[in-house]
Amino acid sequence: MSVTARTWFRLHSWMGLKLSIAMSFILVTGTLAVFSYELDWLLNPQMRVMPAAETQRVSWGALYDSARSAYPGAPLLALSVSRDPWWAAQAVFNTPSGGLVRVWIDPYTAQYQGYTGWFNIQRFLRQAHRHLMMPTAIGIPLVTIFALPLMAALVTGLVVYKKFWRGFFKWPRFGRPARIWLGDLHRLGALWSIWFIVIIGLTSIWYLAEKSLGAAAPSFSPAVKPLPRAAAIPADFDGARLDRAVALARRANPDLQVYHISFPRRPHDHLAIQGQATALLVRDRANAVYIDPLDLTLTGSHRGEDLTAHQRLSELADPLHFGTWGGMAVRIVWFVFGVILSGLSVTGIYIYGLRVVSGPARSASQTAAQVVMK
Amino acid sequence: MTRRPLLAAWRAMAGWRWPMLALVLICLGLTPLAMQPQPQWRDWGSSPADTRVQLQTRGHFLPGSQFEVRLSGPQTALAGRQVAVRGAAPEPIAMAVDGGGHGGQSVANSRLLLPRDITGVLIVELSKVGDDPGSAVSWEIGFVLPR
Repeated sequence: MSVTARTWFRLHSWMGLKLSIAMSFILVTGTLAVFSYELDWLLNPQMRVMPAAETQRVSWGALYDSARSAYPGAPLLALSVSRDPWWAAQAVFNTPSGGLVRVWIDPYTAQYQGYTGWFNIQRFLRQAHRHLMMPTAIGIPLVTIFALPLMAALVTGLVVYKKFWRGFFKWPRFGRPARIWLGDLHRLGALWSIWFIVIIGLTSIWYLAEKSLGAAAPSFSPAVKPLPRAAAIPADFDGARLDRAVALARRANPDLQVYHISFPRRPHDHLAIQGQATALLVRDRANAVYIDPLDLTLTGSHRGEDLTAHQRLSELADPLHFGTWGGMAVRIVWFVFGVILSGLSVTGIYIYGLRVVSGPARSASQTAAQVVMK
Repeated sequence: MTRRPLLAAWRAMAGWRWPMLALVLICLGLTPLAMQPQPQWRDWGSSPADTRVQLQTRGHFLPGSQFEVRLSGPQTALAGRQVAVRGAAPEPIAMAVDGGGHGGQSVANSRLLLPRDITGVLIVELSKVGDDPGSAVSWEIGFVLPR
């Protein structure tokens, strides 16, 4: 192994080892986060419904009325439905003590199913993975900076692994000592994960730039602000009016599949009706119709295609990072590669340890280099 | 030299292992704080007005949640009394009265776990031990609950 290759290898194993504890934690929480909603779904019967045909879904107004009667008097912040038919619709309320509570409604019958607190497995995994539960101004840069060693590990690994393109179908030598077969497995997993590491690394670097380096895209703003009214949601606002608002939104954007409705929190806020339309790889909020809840007039709308390149880049990051852009099949792929990526971190630690315990006869880098080059 | 690879790797991490471990431990340590926004004390006033004992509560009024009850007033008004929280605690709850270091006011605090079958009403009752029920001071406090 040349001196240059040895230096690259040292850099690869130095980063992999020194940062491994926090890196493994971030990778494991991120992997579990792919199915965090499903973990809550399994644990809470309130969230589950018997799937039925899409046409049997009740109107948004019926969901609204049911949610309202389930928690009378509390401010309703949002109402959302899932793309998956086995999920209850969710209404998020403010509690009198300043907390949040989730109320679950059957989307096919509008029956109230129960409620759960705001903090759940999904919140834990999201917050732990995104900012280590710290204030976001500190936590997000701390986590996202790990994207740099992750990308560097990819590059240094490829530089060290001579003719790596021949390794895609090299089965690990399981009959050999652990250092050999684990090394083979580490390299095989890394090769097949190249595309995934690039996606996760680049989106994380984007989050770093967006949250910490002032590169955030400008937020969407409706053209007209509603006139201030007495209350955030008018007293006579009910399900029938919400249905009219949703019909208005569908006229404004006939392609809009509504998944989320945000209710006004202040007396001059809009009703925001959001979802998916024709633009690919955008969050629900990229397609939105804004309506004045007092007189149900349209105050603005935008589609994913209307966004600037900067806003579009910002919208692209989440679906790519989370694997939510293509339904359950894509999320399974994201989870599997998340497991592989977490495994790379753990096997890297173990291989390093095996190298150390194998004895001082040869230097660590010489030994490792021979393992790597095989 | 150790024969255990993970221990060897742990040692090889040298000065990096503690900051990295600290990040994970800080995250896990902060989790309880992240579970809900910290609620503020809510003032329920004194009842009746001339007792000069104030009731405050803090917590998310949801079944299964932790809830704090705080009574404050002159030490003479709080000493030798017991507190019952009807609707949440089956037995009178113990409240330690402090020495009155809050501008002449004593404070009695207690934390209770709201039961799963709680209704939207709590009656907090402060009565003298052994006294006739007529001397009891009580607050009826109501909350909105999901149905």
